Amino acid sequence: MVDPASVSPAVDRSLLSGIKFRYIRHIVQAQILILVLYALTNYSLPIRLLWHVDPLLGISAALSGAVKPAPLLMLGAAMLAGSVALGRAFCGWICPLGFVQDLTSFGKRKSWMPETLRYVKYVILAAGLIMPILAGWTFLEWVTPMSVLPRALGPFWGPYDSLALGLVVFLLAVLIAAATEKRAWCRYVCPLGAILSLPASKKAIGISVNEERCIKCLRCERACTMGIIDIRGQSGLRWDSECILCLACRDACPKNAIGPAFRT
Amino acid sequence: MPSSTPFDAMSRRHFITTVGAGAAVSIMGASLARASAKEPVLRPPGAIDEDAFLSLCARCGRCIPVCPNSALRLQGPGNGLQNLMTPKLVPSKGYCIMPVNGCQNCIKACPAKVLQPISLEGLSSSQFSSRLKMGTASVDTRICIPYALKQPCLACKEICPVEGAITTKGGEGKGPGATVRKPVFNNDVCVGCGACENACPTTPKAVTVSSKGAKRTQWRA
Repeated sequence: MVDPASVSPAVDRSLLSGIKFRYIRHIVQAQILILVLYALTNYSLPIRLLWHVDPLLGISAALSGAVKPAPLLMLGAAMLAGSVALGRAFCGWICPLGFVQDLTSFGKRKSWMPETLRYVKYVILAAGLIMPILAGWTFLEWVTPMSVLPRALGPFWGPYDSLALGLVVFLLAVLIAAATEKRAWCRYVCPLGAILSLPASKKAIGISVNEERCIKCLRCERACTMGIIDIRGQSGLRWDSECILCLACRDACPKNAIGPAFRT
Repeated sequence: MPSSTPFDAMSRRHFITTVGAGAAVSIMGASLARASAKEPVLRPPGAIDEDAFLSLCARCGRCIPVCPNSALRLQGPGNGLQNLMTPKLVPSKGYCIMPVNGCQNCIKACPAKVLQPISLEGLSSSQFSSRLKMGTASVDTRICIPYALKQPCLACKEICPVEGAITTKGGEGKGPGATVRKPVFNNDVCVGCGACENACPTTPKAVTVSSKGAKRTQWRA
């Protein structure tokens, strides 16, 4: 537990205090998305690394026992190690499926779906890690966001058939779900987010609330992309390990009372 | 204040329930996957051996739009859960032009490298065929026009990019007693690019390409 009194003040009158992080984040995300879209027609673009850092690719292949994907496992382990430092920052800053959901996540409404649904992604992850062992079926490749997006967008550049139509409809469903509940896919379904949030419970950098400054205006709760802030609850963040470090709460706070800080 | 316990809101009871539900789902899924029918799929060029292919393919579909001849599609439902959304070569839609110009677009696009690069330089024709081999063409003589109707048609031989893969027999004599030339498929030379099936004018196709005899490579990162 972090003692409220010992928490270093969240980002204060620093150089960055006037900047909205949203714009910085969207510029980074947009560049990744443009890279992924451009790579759909330009085969030689070296964006292989984006898939290789996805730990699900190497882990499910290794569990199925057909190959020894040591290089993939190493990159995936590096990614998991990174999430010990930053949690699900990948989801907030890099994941292209997350970005297209950000584009359709309008408004500042609070979440309305039952919180229990958040466990669904852990069920999917657990099932996806057991099924390669039982049947050699690497089910997680269907649902890892690094594959969902290019698979559904490919038909716009290439040949089209009924399966492609189904995949496009699926992507539309994800975007519509995101419009009613911000980043619904990331909250409830994504197994990549689930595996990244496992080491994130011990992360080094996370969102902290300065209780002295907080006026309980709840703007951060409404702004939170993942719907995890519970400012009146016992802990400021109810699902701390699922924080994607989008810093929407910091942008929304009128008192600079909430923001990223080193955990001690 | 943020708590530092694992899963924060996830208690031990929740964790056990989650893993239990995951195990239950996976047992159902695994039995479904084992039960679902699975036919061999004609893969794009350079595919690694099938077990490794199924376990590593990211199902991202990046190979589909980069194909200049629109020859690739994602496997739809109905051919096993493991195969669903993996790429397949569909010769009736388009054929692989790698034997023509050495195109390796799908191989370069593959992020998981389940399609391995094929070097085509300095190969003898027999090495060329064995290196490229994706499958084998065969003809159904009950449908094929020269065989069944005794009418001239060599559409498959005319388009075939691999010398010696399709030869002919017949064509002797002149005048009313002449026999028509019929295509003969040589399995050792054929690379399975699907050009012959694509060109075949009959419905259903008399010439079909199956994954039989495909040369599958080892996975290298």
